[in-house]
Amino acid sequence: ESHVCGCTQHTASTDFRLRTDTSAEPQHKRARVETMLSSRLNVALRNGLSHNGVPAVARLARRSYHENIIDHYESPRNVGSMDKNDPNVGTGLVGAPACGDVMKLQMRVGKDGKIEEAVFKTFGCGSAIASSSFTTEWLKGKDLDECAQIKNSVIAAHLKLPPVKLHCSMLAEDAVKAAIKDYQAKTKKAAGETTLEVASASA
Amino acid sequence: MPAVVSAHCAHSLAQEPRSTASARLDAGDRNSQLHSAYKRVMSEFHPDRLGHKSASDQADAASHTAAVTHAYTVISRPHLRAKHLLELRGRPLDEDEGGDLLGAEFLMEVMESREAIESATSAQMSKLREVNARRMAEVSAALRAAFDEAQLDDARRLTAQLQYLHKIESEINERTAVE
Repeated sequence: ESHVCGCTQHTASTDFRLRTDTSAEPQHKRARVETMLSSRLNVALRNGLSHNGVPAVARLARRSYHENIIDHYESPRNVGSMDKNDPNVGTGLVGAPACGDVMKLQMRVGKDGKIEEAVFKTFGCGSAIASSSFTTEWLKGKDLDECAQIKNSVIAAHLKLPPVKLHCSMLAEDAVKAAIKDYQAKTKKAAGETTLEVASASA
Repeated sequence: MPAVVSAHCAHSLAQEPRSTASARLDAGDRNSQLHSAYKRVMSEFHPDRLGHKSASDQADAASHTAAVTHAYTVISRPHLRAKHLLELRGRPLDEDEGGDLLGAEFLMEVMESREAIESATSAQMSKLREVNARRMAEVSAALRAAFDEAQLDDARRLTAQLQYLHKIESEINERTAVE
């Protein structure tokens, strides 16, 4: 079964268990990576490309997926979940209706106001997973103002995303902004409640 | 039951731009009617049946039937049909549409469904499929009403929901096929 690699055709998911469970899951994940790559190989074989004696198959596979994105797809960083009720955690949950994919990104703000940890869970194509993986790494150590500066173009440039996948990096940018918004709303609410307590205590 | 597509209609249908082809081929949401109409059109124009014609006639027939097949594919799948209807009415779903259209609650449910699928046994998978099919039927029914009443904001929201639910269905199918 061959098909063009596009958001609607390929799915992959990250689940913390995939990293630690040594049973069937890694093979399943491997099969998905292979499915993603093999569709490109099928296209190459069908088109009968060949060049300079280098097997077209290997050459096309190398050219289609930059090593950065393969790296983040095969070894995603920071897959996981935080307690969304933790007052120091901001949660961003975003979706892409066009492909039915969802991305959850969470970050914990340390006492110094900088991101001490960030995790993600993404159901989507390799580009979406790689975008969220890269983003959680990018966030660490930054304060909220810096985090808010995130640009999907930076994500896309690092991963060498093709134009058709730019919306995946946009999704990651949206997720960060949603997480910041969530954290700020929580902080404001907590501050409001503290003020009330102070007010009633002094009344 | 109307004689949905005569040979002549099919030919002119295939020549229309794809965006209007489905409006003509529309046989309501009675899948059997639609399927019969499709088969009728295909049997008239399938290149395999036109071996006696010239090469250019065969090539024309091939592109006509491709257009008809595309129209059939879009009309027969609720999630594609809804997206297409939005486009026809000038309110398409954008690729850049984020979570605002659907809200955190719906996305959370989708996330939970996708997570459940990851770890489901076959018995659990059947249940998940059942539940999802019911949700899709509910959304489709609400969509029909929204389009009928020209409530396009609702239609957009429901169409977006349907994309997610369809994706869940695809995931379930993919996993049960792999086993």
